[in-house]
Amino acid sequence: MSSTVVAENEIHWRTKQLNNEILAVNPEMCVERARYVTESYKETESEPMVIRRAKAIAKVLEKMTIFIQRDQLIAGVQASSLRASPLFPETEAGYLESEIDLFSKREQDRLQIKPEVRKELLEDILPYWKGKGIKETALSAMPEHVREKVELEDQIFSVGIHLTGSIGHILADYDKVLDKGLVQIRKENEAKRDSLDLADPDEGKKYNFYQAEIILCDAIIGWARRYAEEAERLAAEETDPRWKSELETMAAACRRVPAYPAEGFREALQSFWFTHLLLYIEQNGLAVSPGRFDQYMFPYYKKSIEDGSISREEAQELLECLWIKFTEIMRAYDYESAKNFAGFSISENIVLGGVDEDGRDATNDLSYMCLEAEAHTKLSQPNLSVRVHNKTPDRFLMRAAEISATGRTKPEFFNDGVGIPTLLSTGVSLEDARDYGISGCVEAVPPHANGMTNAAMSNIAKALELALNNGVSRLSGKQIGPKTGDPGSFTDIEDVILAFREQVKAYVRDMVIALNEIERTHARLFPLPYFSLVMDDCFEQGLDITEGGARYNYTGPQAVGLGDVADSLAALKKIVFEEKKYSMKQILDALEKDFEGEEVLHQILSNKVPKWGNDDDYVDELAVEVVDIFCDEVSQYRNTRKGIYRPGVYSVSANVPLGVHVGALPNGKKARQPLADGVAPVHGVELSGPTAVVKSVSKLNHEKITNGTILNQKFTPKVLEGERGKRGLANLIRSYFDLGGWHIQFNVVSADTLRAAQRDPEKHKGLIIRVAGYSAFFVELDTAVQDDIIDRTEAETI
Amino acid sequence: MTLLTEPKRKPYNTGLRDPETVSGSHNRVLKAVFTNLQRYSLHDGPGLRTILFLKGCPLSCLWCSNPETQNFQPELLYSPNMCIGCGSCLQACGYGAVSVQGKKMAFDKGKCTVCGDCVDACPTAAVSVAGKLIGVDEAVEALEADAVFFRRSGGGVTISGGEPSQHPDFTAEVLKKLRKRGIHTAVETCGYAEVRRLFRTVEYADLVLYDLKIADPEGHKKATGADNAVILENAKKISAEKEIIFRIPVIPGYTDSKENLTAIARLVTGIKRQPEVHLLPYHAFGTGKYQGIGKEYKLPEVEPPSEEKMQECKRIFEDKKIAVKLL
Ligand code: SF4
Ligand code: SF4
Repeated sequence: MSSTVVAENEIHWRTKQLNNEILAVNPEMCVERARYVTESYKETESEPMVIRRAKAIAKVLEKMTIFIQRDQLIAGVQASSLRASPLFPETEAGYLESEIDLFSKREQDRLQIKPEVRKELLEDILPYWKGKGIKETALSAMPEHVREKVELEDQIFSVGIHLTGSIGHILADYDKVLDKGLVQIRKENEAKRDSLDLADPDEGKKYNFYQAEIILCDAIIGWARRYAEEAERLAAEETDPRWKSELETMAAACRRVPAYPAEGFREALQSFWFTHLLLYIEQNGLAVSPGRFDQYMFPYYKKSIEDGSISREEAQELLECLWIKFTEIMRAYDYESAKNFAGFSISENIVLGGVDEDGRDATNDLSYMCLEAEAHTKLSQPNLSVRVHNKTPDRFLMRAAEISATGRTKPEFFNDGVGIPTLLSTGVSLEDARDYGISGCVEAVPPHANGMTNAAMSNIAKALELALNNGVSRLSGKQIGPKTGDPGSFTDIEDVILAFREQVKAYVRDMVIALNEIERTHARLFPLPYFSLVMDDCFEQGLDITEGGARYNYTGPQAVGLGDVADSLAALKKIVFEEKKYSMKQILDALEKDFEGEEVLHQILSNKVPKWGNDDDYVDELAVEVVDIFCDEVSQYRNTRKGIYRPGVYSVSANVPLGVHVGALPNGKKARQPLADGVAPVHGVELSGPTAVVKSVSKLNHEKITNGTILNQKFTPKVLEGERGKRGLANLIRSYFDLGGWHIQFNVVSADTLRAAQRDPEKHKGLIIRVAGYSAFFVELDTAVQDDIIDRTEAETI
Repeated sequence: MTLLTEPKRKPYNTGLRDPETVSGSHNRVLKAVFTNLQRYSLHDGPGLRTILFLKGCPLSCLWCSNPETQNFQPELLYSPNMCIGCGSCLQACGYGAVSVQGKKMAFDKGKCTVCGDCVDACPTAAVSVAGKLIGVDEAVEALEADAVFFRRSGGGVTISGGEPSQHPDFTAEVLKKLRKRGIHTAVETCGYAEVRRLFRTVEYADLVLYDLKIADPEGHKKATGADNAVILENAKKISAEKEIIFRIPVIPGYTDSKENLTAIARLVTGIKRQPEVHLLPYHAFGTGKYQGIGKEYKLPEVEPPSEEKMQECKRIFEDKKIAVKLL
């Protein structure tokens, strides 16, 4: 089927080999970073925090094992062996200790841990961090009623990501390192430091900022030199002339970059990788994204091709070596986050195409090569995105659609027509807006921004549950929201919506208080001098990124459960308030019983009312209102870095764990079942096909959802087959974007899903099988025919 | 509704009354019975399309994958997979047509009047009525919902069935209005109709998808219940006036022999200079629907043709320099 976007024999042997090697790794924990950071912290207790941070990272770079993987042409590994996870006791100490024996057993993102590592952690490292971590410090600084909300068992919002991890979510100014080199950057920092008027209190405090940058520049140059030395050592011993000469080339590159400006494509790739990798050695935040890689790398590629120093094929081979390395980045998530962001998803987002600073199409040769690199590999990273605008070349979009039709859910597609105006409306300059990248999943972020775009996952479905139970959680019986009135007395859907709005208002406020405290704690305990080194404005201002040194500063919490809330409101409106077939009390009783003994009502609610995602204004208008309520509440707040709050409507995989905290809802959702994913309809209710889904979703006020939306469209494999299949996708994308949609990605339904649909047709009603002159819902097919489709799906997707 | 009286499975030109005349032209409200409105269709004409499946067909091909479109009158469609056995339908039925059969239900076609009460009562989507009346304006509104997708993809609307030529005025009026709105229009037809009616049906179609099955008249009659002479004559006449694509279902044991496809290839070159042919592989997806409407699937068990087989079939046309595509 369509999974063969590229013939096997067209893939370079090296790409295949490296791809397979990385897949074969059984990931484990590497203790080195934790060890050296802890040692350094013990040595520097009386020094300013920013200096301590710089010295800790410097020590890691000086001491960490230098590991070079055979046949990999790009040097630089995050830990001591391939795809081992470094540890960040600064934020992870708490759960590393309490969950230490869970890592190798949990169902998501398992990590092996050697007995000696376990011992060193428990005896030498973790005890030092007791009481010093971000989590305990931030929690203790919060007002009690807010802390209670954060620690609730059936929580309404989760801010855990920045309690157990750093901030991530930036697009660094890579071109600064590529173009200038660290030697020059060091000089500039020195000059800045020396020009400070130290007697001035505002300037005086910047001294240590520049001091820290200088420490880091030296450390990084030394670290690259260690790679050069190791490559030379290996080359000297090597007998295979090919690998020997490749090692020598690698050594030469590591001797020059990132200290000096990159000359040509090979050095640029090496310099880029060091720069990028360090972002993930300094801190453990997610979604530090390469951004517009095809743009800032293009001049180097062009030069090398033009001066003949490299052929297009060699460039492709090197690019693919780099492509594979993105999946090396690892992090030891805690148990809860592993569920929310399953698959060690780091979200290093590369975005291709889009417009340039003058609004013209920016697609170039390298954009196409990146698509090929993606086609030639099949790994979780990088998270690949394509920016689409009216002049995006058809060939480019079609190739991207073809690759995304292979069931890897990427590339994902973004609409310049929404991204740019939305950024402008939040005060970004036109030049920066046109140069936006994607931070992590779907968040449009201009360059020079500290995104913090995945600040929290919040549960609007829980807010509705509270609105329908006077603020009391159905699961715990505790009063966790304001008393918004006895729902039995509601006589109109507006009463329900009003109560819902009050619940959202209350929790958003608490969430903002919590997040602002977390931000302050990061600025105090976890400044990021290396992040700041690769962000232009931090250098200019002498201000750390965690304190607001970036040009744009965002905090972006998400709403999860849109489909459930919209469908629930539609069900109440129709059945209770309009048709009066059931009373509010009957519905509430059924919810309280989790539909036990109420199967007929449960089925009616599930089947006989309008559902979000079918291009039906009856419910779509309610969805629009729900999103507006959330966005208006969030957007009014300011963060601690003189920046704004940006609301998003997406869930990644948090719709599953957040669903666990929600009781039964009037759309037929039973207690603890997963919530709808992003802005997509509730699973199984999208009976009118993808164009209807897209039309529903496009009705949302996307320009208000400044942190982005995720629309995940699922297809049975047959629909995506062949020229027509991918043309269909390309047209669906263009049309969705004509209608004002922001993001869309495609998923191919797996044989397992089809099997689940066979067992539980009710939950998978929307799966459509389409061929010429015919279409039907999968669940309605004859069992033998279903079996046949399952068999073929399995055979095709292996 | 006179529509609902007796099953009219006889071909139109042997005196079948036109359901449209009956239901429509007295009161000038043109309506037709349809079974499904399918959006995001990729294979029934160019671009992304919306397909309207009308109900009623003069043929009865053994391999038909949309058996619920064969009869003219609405009929009850039951999907046991979706049934929770709650018995609401049993209570709702005033005609004694429903009975319990194990954990599922049974619907007696003889007694059922297709009143739809059980459909309203059913809390799931287990029972539905295949076939609802729709007026021209209502159809136009529903069909143009995806106009933005048509524009982007060069797609549009295809009227299919069943057999659109059983609803010529309805089809023509709907397509006329869509065309006025700049939407590309197509009709898929089996060609088995009196020629003026067929012309009326395709009057506002930009494209005709014309089904051909078996070249040998006897074989055709056996598998489809009708003679192919009219179909072939009509094909010639229509293709003189209209853009046309011939669609051939590849049904193992029925239409897939080298002789048949070669004969069809010869026929289409005779009908039209530079014909275009689409080949549709057989699939068994429709078998469940036979059960659902209480019909028997008479096609003996056949396997869908392999990819190689489809390529072989394709070559037969290519060898004759005919533009051919596999769908
Ligand atoms: S359609 Fe009417 S007559 Fe037929 S089974 Fe249902 S309720 Fe009975
Ligand atoms: S009402 Fe529907 S679900 Fe209940 S028994 Fe009848 S067909 Fe089955």
